[in-house]
Amino acid sequence: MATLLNELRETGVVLDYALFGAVAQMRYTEPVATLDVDVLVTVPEPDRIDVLSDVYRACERCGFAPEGEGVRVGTWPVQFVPVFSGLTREALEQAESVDFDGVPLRVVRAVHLAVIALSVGRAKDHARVLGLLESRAVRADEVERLAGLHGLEEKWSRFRARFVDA
Amino acid sequence: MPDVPGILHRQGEWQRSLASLSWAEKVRMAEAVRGSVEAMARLRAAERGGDPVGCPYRAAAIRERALLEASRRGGPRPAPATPHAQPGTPSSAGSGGPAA
Repeated sequence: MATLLNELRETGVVLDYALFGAVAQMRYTEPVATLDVDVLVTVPEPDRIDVLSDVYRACERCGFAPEGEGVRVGTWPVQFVPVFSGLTREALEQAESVDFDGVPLRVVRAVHLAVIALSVGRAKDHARVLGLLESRAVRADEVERLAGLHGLEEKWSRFRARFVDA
Repeated sequence: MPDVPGILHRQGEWQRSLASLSWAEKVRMAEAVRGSVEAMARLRAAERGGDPVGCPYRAAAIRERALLEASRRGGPRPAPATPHAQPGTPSSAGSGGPAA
């Protein structure tokens, strides 16, 4: 998967990519159950309706067939998600390259992962924020600051009152 | 009588200790249980008659695109984008996979 993602970036099919979601979370916490791999991407022509078609075509050329709304790589379905907000764009821009079995793999920073989860707000996203806090991958004040920069103060306040200060 | 709080405490400690494994090793552990998780998700989907775990990020991306298109056309703007995916809504149904 890392090889495929790097290939997509090197050939210009995507301008950049970074893992987010549960697989990214596992960089910072204990393992968590998940079904697929979420990959944030920026593409050269983001305003096209079929924004990911070139990505799927390139994956197919590499031998990875489209499946559902993603691509299967080995046993993992991989979902490509174009950046969809200022927060996700910033997360991608500030992503880090990390060694994954000898191959560099880009992954969003813990604080962005936490605030993206905060913005989504389902139970498992709340668990993700708590997991990142508990593992000390991120501090509450860092989450608060970034949440404030992206208009999520209220969500953070509610989360904090319910889960952190309780 | 088993020491339930003690058992839970030790289990929690063991789970937390796994955080020190390498990222690749943790992903491999998740991969090992992925089949079981998928089977449970399918069962849930069948019970609820839909996809219970549609990707909320994709739903948000679709909303952002709709906003962009509407603003270009100068027409009425759709409701503000939100990354929330409500289970069973068209935007989350049939996403082909769950949010991780």
